[in-house]
Amino acid sequence: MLKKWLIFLFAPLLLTLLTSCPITRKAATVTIWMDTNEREMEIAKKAAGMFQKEYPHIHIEFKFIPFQDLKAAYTGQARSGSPDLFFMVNDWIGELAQKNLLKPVQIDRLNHLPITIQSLTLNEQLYALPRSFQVVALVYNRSLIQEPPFTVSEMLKKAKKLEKEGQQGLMYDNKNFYYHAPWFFGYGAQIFDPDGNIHLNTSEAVQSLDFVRSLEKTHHIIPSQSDYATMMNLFNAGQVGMIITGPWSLVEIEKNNIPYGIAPLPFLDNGKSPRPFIGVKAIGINPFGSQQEAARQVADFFSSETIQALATRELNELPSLVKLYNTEQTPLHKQGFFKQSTNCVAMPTDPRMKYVWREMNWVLAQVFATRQPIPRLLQQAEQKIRAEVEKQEKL
Amino acid sequence: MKKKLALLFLFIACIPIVVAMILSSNLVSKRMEALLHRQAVDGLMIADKAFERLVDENILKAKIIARLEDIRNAVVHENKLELIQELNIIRQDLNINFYEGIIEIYKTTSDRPLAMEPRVAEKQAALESVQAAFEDILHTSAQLVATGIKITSCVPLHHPSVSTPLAAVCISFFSSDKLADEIKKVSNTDIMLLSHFTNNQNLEMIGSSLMIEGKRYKPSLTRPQLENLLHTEMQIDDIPWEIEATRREVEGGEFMLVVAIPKNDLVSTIMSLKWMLYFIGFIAFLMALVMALIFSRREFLKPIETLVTAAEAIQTDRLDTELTLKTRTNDEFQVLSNTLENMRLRLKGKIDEVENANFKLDRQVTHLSIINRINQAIINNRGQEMLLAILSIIAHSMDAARSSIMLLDSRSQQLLLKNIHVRGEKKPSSQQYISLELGEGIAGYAAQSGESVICNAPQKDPRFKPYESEEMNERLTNLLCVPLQGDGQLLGVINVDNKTGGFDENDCNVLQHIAHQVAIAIQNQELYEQSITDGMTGLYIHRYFQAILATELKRAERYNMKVSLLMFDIDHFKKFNDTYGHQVGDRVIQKVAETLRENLREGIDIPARYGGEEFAVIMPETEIEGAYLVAERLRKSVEKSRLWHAAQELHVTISLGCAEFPTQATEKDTLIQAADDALYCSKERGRNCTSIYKKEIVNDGNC
Repeated sequence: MLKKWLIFLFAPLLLTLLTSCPITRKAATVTIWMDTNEREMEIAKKAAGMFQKEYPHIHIEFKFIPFQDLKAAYTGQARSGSPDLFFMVNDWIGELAQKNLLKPVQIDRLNHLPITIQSLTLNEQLYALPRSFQVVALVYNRSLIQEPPFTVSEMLKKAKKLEKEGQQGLMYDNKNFYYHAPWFFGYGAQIFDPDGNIHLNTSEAVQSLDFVRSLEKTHHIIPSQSDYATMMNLFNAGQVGMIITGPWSLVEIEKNNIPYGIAPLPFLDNGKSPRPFIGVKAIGINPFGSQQEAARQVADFFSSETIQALATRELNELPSLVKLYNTEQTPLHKQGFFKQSTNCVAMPTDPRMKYVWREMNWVLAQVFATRQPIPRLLQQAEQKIRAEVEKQEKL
Repeated sequence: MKKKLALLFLFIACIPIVVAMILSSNLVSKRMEALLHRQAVDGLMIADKAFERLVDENILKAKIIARLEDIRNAVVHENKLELIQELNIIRQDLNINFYEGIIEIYKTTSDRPLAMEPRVAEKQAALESVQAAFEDILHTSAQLVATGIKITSCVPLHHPSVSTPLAAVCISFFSSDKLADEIKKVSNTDIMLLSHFTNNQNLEMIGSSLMIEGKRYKPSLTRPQLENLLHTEMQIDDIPWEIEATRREVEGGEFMLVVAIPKNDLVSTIMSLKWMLYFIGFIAFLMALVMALIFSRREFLKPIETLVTAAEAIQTDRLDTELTLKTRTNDEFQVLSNTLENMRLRLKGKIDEVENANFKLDRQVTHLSIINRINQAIINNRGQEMLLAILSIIAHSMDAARSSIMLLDSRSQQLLLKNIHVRGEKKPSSQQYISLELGEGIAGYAAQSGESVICNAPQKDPRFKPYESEEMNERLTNLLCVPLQGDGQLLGVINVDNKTGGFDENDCNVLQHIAHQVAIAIQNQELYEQSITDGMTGLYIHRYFQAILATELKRAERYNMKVSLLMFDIDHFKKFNDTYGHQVGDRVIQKVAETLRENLREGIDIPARYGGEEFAVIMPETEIEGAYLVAERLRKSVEKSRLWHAAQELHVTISLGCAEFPTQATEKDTLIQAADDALYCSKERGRNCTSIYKKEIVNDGNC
């Protein structure tokens, strides 16, 4: 009797349990870490929406991590399996590949600008999927300068003319080695000697530093307060003729309705072209992620033609796919960056670079603030870098 | 019982749990809705305060900028580059960039700003705000613009050398998603900022902290929709919301700060809570059921079963089973059990009493019936017959194989076996002659001591006197001897033997009782005998003779039988009396009577002392010839008998006459007369002879 009762009592329980078990497909969630502004996030989500229409079982989760924390956070947490993907820049390749935190990828390299592939390659191994590149070029106010200067001499002439009219001739963040790099490499200086040792104190380097010092101190075409924010403020106020900047500044300039043009940096007096660093924005795959297959699918999609075109249109990104420069997807005026990209230096992936950045910025600060001889400054910087590297190697 | 109890517990467990489940789930959902509303109201209040604070902070930040030395100097010297650089730094430091705030410095009211960080296409501060600042008044304005609400705070910038404000520092910031996010951080509820232009019905979403599936959620609403949402439960894009809003008048319209809490989570939480509650309820119900079953089994069913079993035992008279029920607490079952146990014990006591009484009563009835049967036997019988009847009753009632009676012979002072009854035999096979001295054997001991003796192992008893036959000895298994005493005088002994299982006190008591009756009967019989017998001779007196004769004649008449009557007297008796005195005469009479008794057929002939020296003998069922033979034998015996007196031998003779009924006389009196006539005839014939009555004798007058 009691047994029958129990059956009646347990039947609803079993039914409840059975019906509450969801019948699930093999779903995957891919986590992406990235540093974006709001607009970039918006586009990323739009892209994710498009992706999910094609792959409904893969869910994409974005996590915003400020750029300055991104590499450290990834280095610290990658082995826990999260994130599956992250947006990175090419100069992290060396450090992360050394720590085995990047999964090598195979793609059709010919579709991309060679410099982007080159920037992401270490020991002939491609470590990330290129998405876009960043490079600086000469951005000028077309209402103040009709034709962009072809040589440095022309640039000086045009600048001086503007100075006389009460405007600023040229402005750029000249105490930042990133913006100094075009001149540095343009004069033929190198960071590493043929043996791979850091060698900064060269006549070419001294030449480049002499040149930028002269722009401020001798030619007076750059104000001493020439940093990025001031440059942007004044350019947006229509008070600066030429600035050196990358595609990231374009949104703000357009907002302020400044008529602008983009041109490659003018040739040096020695006839050589300045060669800026090229930074490649890429998608890295965590080798410890739990969803390798899904992650690769997402990474492919986010670096695909569709998305690169979207990003070029909406975010002023410079696509890594060669194809896109042959269509109207990339506006003509932005071709200046593309032109510049043929003359540039891949951002070094060497782990010692962080000391180079620090010390070269110090050198630049000294160059503009003091009258110290430049070779001595470079010598000091070189010594400090070597000391740091040795200290690091001992550790 | 089990089913009923289980059902009862099922209902007891089920109903409150179901009721509790329904009530609590309703209560929970209502309470949660109320909490949600409360949260929305509180959230709105906090959000409103947070917004106010942000506006206040804006003025504060402007004041800080106005007081910075570097900025003041840059303004005085109109060093734009320096100023921009400083503003850029301070913008970061004061977190103005977070809300995309714009700092402007005005040197005059009409002109474009001296500096603006970051640079945007249009100037931000309204003219009156800047004017107010130059009039040394802090001014904050809120204005509806295309992108939302712009809040501008303007403060004057002083220089120590000048009394009037040197410039105006303005900070403008816009309602944005970030602002909503910032307010959300404080209020902990989602915020929507809506603007409402006076010339338009539509509400413009100018900031929202709502994120749905990773996307910022910005529903488009009209004013009436919002009004509705505030009062009724409505859905925007299929999502139910809890909405609270506050309005602020601003330049160009108004804006609304809306707190929105999506109810999706609440609804699912309530649902899951409900299911959880049902599940818990169900589990509780199961547990209650199991516990109820266990509890009812242990606390109710078992005690009840025990009690029922006990009650059934009592009902079916099985009163010997002890009822043991031990409950941990002295509950009602324990009380009931104790009561039932007491009842059982009392009932058992009563029944034992009744059985005891019944047993006693049975015994008494048996006893009485035995006594009654004994009395009947005593009344209906006489002599040996009486004794035999009594012995038969005794043997039967005591379930003994044999019973016997021994009477004390007063002359020899010996116990003589008078009668014996053996069960299964109508008459004893052989009338043994057994006599015991007083004190001899167990019966002798009983007689001598006056005590009843129960002897269940007679062979081992030293008092036992073995029979001559070994077989008889072996056949005797047990023995009960009770003395017969009347008025303290020993009369004899009653013996019973070979009872299955042996004799007990009760048998002894019964037999003593019977012995008492028997003793009385024997004594009474002796007394009667005394009243109808002559004291000197022991023969029946004349009156009794007459009665007996009448009875016998009637009997003979009925059965057509003959009765002879013998009459005789002592020859020359007068001579004895006269010669030797009356004492010798008496002795003569006694001697004749003794001889008479010795020569009669015992049990048949009835002798009587008819007169002084005259005797009569009634001989039932006897013809005259038989009577004559008896008479002659008697006459000869008397003639032979010797009587001594003073060394002198006395000769006694008797003369006899006999007559036969009904041949010679048909009446009692005529029969006596006929016998007497025949006696007379013998006298005539010379005495010491016997004459048979003849009619002629009488008629002729000679023999």
